[in-house]
Order: sequence, then C-alpha cells, then structure tokens
Amino acid sequence: MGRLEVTDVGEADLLAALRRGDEQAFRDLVQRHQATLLRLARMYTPNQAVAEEIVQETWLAVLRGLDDFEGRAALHTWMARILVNIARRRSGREARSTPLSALARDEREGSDPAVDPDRFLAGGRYAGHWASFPDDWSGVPEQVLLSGEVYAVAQAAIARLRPAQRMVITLRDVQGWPPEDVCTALEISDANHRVLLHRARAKVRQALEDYLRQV
Amino acid sequence: MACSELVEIVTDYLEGTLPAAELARLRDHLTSCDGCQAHIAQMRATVRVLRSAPEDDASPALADALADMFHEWAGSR
Repeated sequence: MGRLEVTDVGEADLLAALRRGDEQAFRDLVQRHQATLLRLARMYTPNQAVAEEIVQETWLAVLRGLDDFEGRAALHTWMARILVNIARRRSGREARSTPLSALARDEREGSDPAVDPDRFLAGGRYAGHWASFPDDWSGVPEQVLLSGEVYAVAQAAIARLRPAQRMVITLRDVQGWPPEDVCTALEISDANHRVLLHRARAKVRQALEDYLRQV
Repeated sequence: MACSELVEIVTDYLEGTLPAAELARLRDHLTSCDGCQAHIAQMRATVRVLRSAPEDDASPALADALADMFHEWAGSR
C-alpha cells in the first residue's frame, strides 16, 4: 500500500464519501496513503513519534481543507505538499524556511560531480575516461541486491543527502512516483527535479558501491 | 564523449529526456566502453534497490489518534 499503483482507483468516490463524513472512507484513505506520508515525515525526523505527529497533523489539515480541494492535483500530491509544509515549519533547522524551490535552484549552481573526479584520467589521449572501471554488479545476485541489508545502506545514504535531494529521490525512487507528481508536490520544475534526482542517485550509487566491495 | 561527461547525463538518459544528438553520442560511446556500461548498470541497480524498500509501519497509537481526530472533525461539521 501507499505506492502509486493503488492510489487512483476509486479515489474520487472515497473523497465524496469522506465529505459526507463517512468514517470507512477515511479509514480507506488512511490505509492507502499512510505509508507514503510516514516515509515522507521520516525524511524530516529520525524520531518515529514526531513523524507520526506530522502525519496526524497532515490528516487534520487534509480534513479541514477537504472542501477546498478541487482535485486539480492528485490527492497524494496535494497531501504530500501539505505534509512537506507542516514538516518544514516544525523542523527547527529549516524554520527560517527557505522554500524548497529555492533550495532546488541552489542545487543547479555549483558543481557536485556524480562520480569522484579521481576515477577519471586527468590527462593524455584518454583524459576523462575511466582510470579504473566501475565494478561489474552483474554477478551480484538479485536476492542480495534486493535484500533489506542493501536497502538499509541506501537508506543511510539518503539520510545524509541535502533536503531537496532527499525528498526527490524518496518520492521518485522509493515511492515510485512519476516526475510530474514529484514536481507538483514539491513545487519544483522538471529540470530541477532531474538535477536533484541525478545527484541523489549518484550518492546512493557510490554508497552501494562502497558497501558491495566489502561483502 | 568522455566517460566523465556520460556520468553527468546518465539520469537524463534513463529518464528519456536526452536530446536526440546527445543520445546518439551516448549510444555511440556505450558501444565501445565497458566502464560506462557498468556504470549505467549500477545506476539502474541503484533504482531497483530503492524500489525494494519495505513499508514503514505506523504504531497503533497513530490509528487511534486519527480515529479520535476524525470523530471530532465529523462532529464539528
């Protein structure tokens, strides 16, 4: 649950029922979206109780805003945007709140190479080509790659990312949202989203490479 | 195309947003570069790892809190 595939089926009906005060509709919506909201909230706090408070506050804002929700955006992107605003307001570090779109813009400036420049030859005829090839992962069994252990390494790498990168990779790759939903929820441009996704994936890839070399 | 250039456009490539001319240069490079093939395979594998995330479980306390919150909201409408 919580993945995109299941969110659109019958959602308009559930919303209509919810507007009539139908508790079962509320439970169904919670069931559908809880995992996503919780994961997003966990991007802002390592504390499960605080994350759950953020999720609760988000649901309250959703209920209160229900009559104004026009359905122009999908429900999950609307809720994600509410959650991000709540989480950012609560988080002391980001309290002086730079909008995420500004953080995203900053990312476009300055260099942040996807791969350590030392991995490439600095001069000669083959300048810019691999000095040492990346590891071949085709020998890594899929059940090892998709074991919880490797995901835990990726998760730790995500936790070290800057906030805008963290949000984008979580929504795109962990939750499997399409680009347009991520851009709507985070209020960033498609180009910005791709820069953030690129840098985030590059860092996670590096962490996985470091890890898989040891095992 | 240098490998150091390819690694910066690999996400555009995987997202299918690379302009045609660059796409042709990238494909041309890939045919003769095992290193970049391995790099792209790593990027694809990284995405598969991320998609394998287990769901986070909410505590029963959250379900109770949401139920209370709903009743209060429904009662005030």
